[in-house]
Amino acid sequence: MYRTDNKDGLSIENTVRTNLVHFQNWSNVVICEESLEWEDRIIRLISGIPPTTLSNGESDENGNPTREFLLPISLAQYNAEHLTIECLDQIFDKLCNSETKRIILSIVNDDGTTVFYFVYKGVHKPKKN
Amino acid sequence: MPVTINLICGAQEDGQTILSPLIFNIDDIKKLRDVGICGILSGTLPSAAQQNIFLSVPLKLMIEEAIWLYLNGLAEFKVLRGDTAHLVKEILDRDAHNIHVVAKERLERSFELQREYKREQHRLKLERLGIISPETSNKNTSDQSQNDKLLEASLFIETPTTSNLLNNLHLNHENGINDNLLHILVSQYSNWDNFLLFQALKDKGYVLAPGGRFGGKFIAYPGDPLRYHSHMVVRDALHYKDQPLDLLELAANARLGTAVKKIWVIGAPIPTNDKLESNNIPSKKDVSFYSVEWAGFG
Repeated sequence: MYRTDNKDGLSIENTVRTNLVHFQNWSNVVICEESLEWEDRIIRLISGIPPTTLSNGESDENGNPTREFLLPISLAQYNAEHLTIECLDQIFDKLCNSETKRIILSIVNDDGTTVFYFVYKGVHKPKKN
Repeated sequence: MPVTINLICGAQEDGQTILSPLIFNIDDIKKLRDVGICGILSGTLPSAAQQNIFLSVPLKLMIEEAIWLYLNGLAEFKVLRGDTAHLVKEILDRDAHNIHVVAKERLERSFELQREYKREQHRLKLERLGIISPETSNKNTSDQSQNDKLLEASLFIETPTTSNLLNNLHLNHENGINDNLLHILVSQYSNWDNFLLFQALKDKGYVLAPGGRFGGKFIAYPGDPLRYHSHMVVRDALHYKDQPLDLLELAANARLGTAVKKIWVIGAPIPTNDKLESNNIPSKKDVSFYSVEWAGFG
């Protein structure tokens, strides 16, 4: 099972980073310094730049996509999960700056897949499609 | 003028009560639509069951809608039909004295009307027989007390077949039956956290409808449902501290939401220190909301 405090390549932060860099073609992917202690876990965000602007994402003056922030979390079938609304509030409070509207929940499954979901703070309109 | 929400009560075998909040008055339905309470039209003919858009009155409300209307002074409850004895039992115990007084007053009033009528009839009879002249007829005579005794003995007491008192009881605001019905609505059909979510979204200007179709508690429209598509599927209220998100549920709902062009909204009322909530006393609590949708990759 993945542990967030692992220093080797098996931490879920590294799994998500590898997925972003080599599978989704993201660039400048880094694991953030700031951390949040939550129920015996250390929560760290990952940030990076997607290859194209994501839905509801922002672009800089040259039309290039801007940095996105991701929250890695493991979907461990036999472990209790810990992502409560209170935990999300803390993450937005302590790990994000005040302009952050959304983070990308990166769910690392124990079957080797990683899936990505936008989590917006507050009530948000669905993306146009 | 508050609209009337009719409650149809039915007792279940397990002692629970079913309350359906219904509205029959078209003008009331229009009034509610203006404040963003749409309900669901449910009337049809058993012999010619109709599709949804052809349904008619009564309008069936969600429990949260009924509670919201009542708490905002826009509606009052009326028990329309059903076994209400157990609903009013508590009220009866508390208000037994008042009911006794009202019953006694009614009886006295009935006696008074009968006395008046009988005296008048008696006077007219004496006049007809020429025993008294019309000029003196209004003056008291000496044998009045004798006549009064006879008159008292002839008064009727009505033995009613239905209780007028109980039928009219719910119209009285101060007797607390509305609050009692509210309590039953809240405790048996919903929970207070769901109502707080409903209220918070209502305050943001959304119109809410039942969300069973999309696997949620509510669906939310940015305005009248006939003008807009719904934007959100709202999950049952989560507990702020003790209820971790089920990630498989999140994936399922966010994917479905994306497929039907909606965003999945989760929310939990932020606990405060007041102990008011145990009594279901409405307190405006802050609700922390998050909206989830598929990121479009992965």
